[in-house]
Amino acid sequence: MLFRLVEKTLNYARKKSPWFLHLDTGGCNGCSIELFAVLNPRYDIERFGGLSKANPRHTDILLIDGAVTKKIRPRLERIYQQTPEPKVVVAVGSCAISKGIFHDAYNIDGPLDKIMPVDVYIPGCPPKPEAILQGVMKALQLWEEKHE
Amino acid sequence: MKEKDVRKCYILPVGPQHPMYVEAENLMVHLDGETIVNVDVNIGYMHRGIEELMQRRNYIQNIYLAERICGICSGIHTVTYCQCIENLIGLEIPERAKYIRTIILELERLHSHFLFFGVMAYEMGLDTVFMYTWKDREAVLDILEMISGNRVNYGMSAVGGVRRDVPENRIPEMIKKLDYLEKRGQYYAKVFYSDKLIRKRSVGLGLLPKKLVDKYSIVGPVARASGVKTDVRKDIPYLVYDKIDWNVIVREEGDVLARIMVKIYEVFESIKILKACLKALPGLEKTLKVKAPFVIETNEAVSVTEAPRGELFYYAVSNGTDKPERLRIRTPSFVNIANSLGILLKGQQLADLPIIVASIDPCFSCCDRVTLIDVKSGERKTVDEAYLKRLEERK
Amino acid sequence: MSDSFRKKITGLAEIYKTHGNAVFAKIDKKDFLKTMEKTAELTERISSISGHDNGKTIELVYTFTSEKLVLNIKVEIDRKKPKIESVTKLFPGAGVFERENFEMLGVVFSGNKNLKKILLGKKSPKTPLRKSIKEGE
Repeated sequence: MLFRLVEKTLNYARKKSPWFLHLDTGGCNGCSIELFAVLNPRYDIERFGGLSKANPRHTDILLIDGAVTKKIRPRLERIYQQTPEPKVVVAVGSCAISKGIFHDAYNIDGPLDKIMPVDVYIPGCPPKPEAILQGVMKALQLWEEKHE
Repeated sequence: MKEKDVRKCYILPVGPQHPMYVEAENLMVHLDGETIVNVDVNIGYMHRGIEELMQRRNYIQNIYLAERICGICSGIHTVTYCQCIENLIGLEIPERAKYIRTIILELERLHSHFLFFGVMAYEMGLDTVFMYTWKDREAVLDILEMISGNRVNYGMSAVGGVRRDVPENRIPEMIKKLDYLEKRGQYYAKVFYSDKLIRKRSVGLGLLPKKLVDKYSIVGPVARASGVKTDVRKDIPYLVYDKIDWNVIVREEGDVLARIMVKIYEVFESIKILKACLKALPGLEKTLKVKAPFVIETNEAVSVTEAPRGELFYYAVSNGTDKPERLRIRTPSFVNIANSLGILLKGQQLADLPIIVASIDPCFSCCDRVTLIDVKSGERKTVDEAYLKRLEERK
Repeated sequence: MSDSFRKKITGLAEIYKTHGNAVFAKIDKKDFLKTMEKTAELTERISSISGHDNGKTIELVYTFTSEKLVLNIKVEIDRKKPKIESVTKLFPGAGVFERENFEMLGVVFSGNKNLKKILLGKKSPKTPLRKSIKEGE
């Protein structure tokens, strides 16, 4: 009985404060700086309880942008495995969704959904901060559902 | 190094996803206790093979590719690319196009410098200054959006000129925003120069001696902060930089604070150039572009410009078709990172690593974890960003 | 300064092209080291080493920028066994460029002790900027 109560409180607390991990896997930084712009006072993701963390073991939502280069692929897979369930993977930008303008480059591995299951796609090159916010909101909804 | 000294050293791989900066790079840091003895830089996590891609696309498609080499300095890549192709053809672009290109480039320099201030403050643990600078950076992005319609990857340059005009009825609005930015710049100059906490984390740190700057091909504000007066806009003038009165900022100290102050004063110079260009624009003729051929005969040309991080160099070879034979791009960050970190980090403390690396303004993105290996006992200890930040706070 | 600089360059190598502030000069492989030593007296900083495989030879362009001048010195080397002396003793900053040309084109810079890959990883293709030999040699 007590255990159920504790579990319910923890779940409620977790839902209200999702932690993000942002990884740039070989893009031009355009998506990265728009993601950082989402942190700053004008677009402000912190009002939704979101916090950007660097440790995969503490994160709930993975924000991945960039076309995956061959050199970074093993690290990317390891980060995915180190993130605990339930987790939501968000592919930000054209490069993560479909390799974008680098589709026939020699150093790029497949788009992100060939490497890991992706839950939310945010298109754009780079997507506007408003679009990123909308995508992250969708990710939060999905994540709350996964908690049920 | 002798055998016993090597065994006393810890080798710390600060891996590709690390807590410091935007972008993946790997530094193998050799430590003796907490002092850095040597550093091997292992880059290439962002390498997408763009030079090879450019050989397979025609000259117009390459403009879009050049834009996406870097999101922070996308404007300078397009302008340098277009200038290089124009040199191949021997094309002279209209006066108005030169002014508009200068406006875009200086706006980009502004937003890049504000980004840098935010990241430097963040590395030192001052989250509020990070938020303030990025909020002010939004004013620059507003002006860019007024002109080009986008905040990043503006798509303004074309071979032969520019694609869009600056809306003249909005120039007073832009000048008001520039006045606001100038006031904020003066505030940050005071904050960074006189705040005790910032001075403790930046004065005398990461020294770059003047005689090593040219030897190791270090360029940009990092070189200017060590007393070397080198700026492509004055040395090899392009666009309209030789028609406007502005100064090159040089400082002698060569430490982290000097690198910050050089950029702060460059903000004021950029605002000066921008105001001069915006005021001159209404009086110019309205041609934006001249026609350029699709197929370029065999020739070779170079183009050198000053990106926010230093000297950017393009070398192009054409072969009589509509695709370039070879397009060589040498970015300032490539040289600065690969060559300067070995000098800057020797003898410094581990806790200062993020600040010193961020001070050369590397054009990458990252957030990672760090593994400490005790070579002698073979013991491994995985730490994360929190550990490094705690080290910083303890200092 | 730039006029006397230009006179010195004309003494170094034959200039075959100019545009704006840029000067292109060509030298033979046997004069390479001598020319580099003379250039090292004029300037300490090298801007870039650009390598290009044109199907017949490999061209290396050494670029030096200084006030009012972009100096490009071109030298051609054999395509099947590309080898040339390293300039890292004269210009320590050139090490990075030599490593890049080594991994992209397979050029061996003799005298460079740190000649290893810089940008490509284990899984990337080898020497991607080389023209493929199948294209009718």
